[in-house]
Amino acid sequence: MDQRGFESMVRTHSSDLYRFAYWLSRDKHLAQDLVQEAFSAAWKAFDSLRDKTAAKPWLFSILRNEYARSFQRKRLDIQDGVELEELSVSVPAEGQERVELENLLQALPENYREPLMLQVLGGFSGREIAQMLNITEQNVMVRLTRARHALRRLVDPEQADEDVDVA
Amino acid sequence: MIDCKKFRTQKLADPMCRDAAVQAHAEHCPPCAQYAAKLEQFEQKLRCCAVDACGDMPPDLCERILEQTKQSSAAGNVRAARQSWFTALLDKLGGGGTRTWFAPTMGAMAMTLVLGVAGLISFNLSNTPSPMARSVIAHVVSEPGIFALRDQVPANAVQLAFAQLGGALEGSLGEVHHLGTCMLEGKLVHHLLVETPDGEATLMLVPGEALDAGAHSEQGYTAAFIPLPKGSLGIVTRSEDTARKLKARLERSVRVQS
Repeated sequence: MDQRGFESMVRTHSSDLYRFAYWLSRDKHLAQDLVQEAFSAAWKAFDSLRDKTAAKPWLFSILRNEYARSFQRKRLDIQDGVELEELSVSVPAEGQERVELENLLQALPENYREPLMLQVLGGFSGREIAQMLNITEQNVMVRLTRARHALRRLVDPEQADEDVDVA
Repeated sequence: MIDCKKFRTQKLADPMCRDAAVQAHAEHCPPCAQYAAKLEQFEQKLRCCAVDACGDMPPDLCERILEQTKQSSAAGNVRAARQSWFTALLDKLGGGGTRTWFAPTMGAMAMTLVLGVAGLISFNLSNTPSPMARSVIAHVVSEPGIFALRDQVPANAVQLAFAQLGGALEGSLGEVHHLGTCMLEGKLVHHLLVETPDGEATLMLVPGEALDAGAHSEQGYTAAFIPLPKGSLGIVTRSEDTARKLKARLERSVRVQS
């Protein structure tokens, strides 16, 4: 196996994977474990990755699978029954806007948070996200639009008024 | 040329979109250009927030991953070497499947030898540590920072963790410094750091198979297991003596829930 190529892949993508894992699990320790598990699975299948330039979406998909395999059956403390309309935020104090935004991101339902984080942190296109989530590109775009509008509506209602109708 | 509605929809879905049609619209529509600029500012804020919230990735995570890979490769090489040796032996005995003169007597001899070798190998394997014993030790070694934690862990949280595997704890384990959840072999496990009367120990509540493997020591740690109805209680300590005493103590104080 190409140990050097794998090492380079680990060093290049581990930070992005760690951040994505954090937003999936919302726990720093679990995020580390998830990244380790994902790379362990990636190592076993490394020879099957023919196009090494496609490593990033491949790794993100593996991490999603690891997460789904391990967590979604046993959601110990994660509750995602929240609807976008139920998201709320207190009026941010001076300098507290980022904290509020973080809280909102945490509270965003998973089916909106996941594509948003794949785009914001992973830099993936709508088509790539659609392939990873196994949904249509149109559906991805709708989720991204709604997620951003929901965040803007609470953080900056004036600006959100200029958004198109996303209902 | 796209209209304002289409432009804003596209930008809201992907504020960094640089499609020619999107660019062209912004050049001819100042309100939409302003809208896009504000959206890009918001996007920057969103990205900073998403990155900052995670904190920095632990600096040793890459090394841990690479070390894990090396160990897995080394184990794979040993397996491959065993396999090729075994295949070569079969080839010698069986003529490699290419010769037509393979006599029935040779086949019988080969089978006898193969069974003998297989028996020897399975005996050896039964003396090797369970993969889970190695995994719990590797996990403890990979998280040295946990030993410094001094969390306030409610007693009912510990009880709940045991209850999830069908166990009930009678009496106190000692002082519980940490209770967290970790990934181990694709399973979500509860990880406890406990100061017991026998010494400091890591307990791992592993769902799934009820392991009752013998103790195993490596990398300065000893791991032992107690089977529970819905999994196993892994005990990891720095000395064999502590592991032995603690296992005996826990076998007395963990009762199976009916």
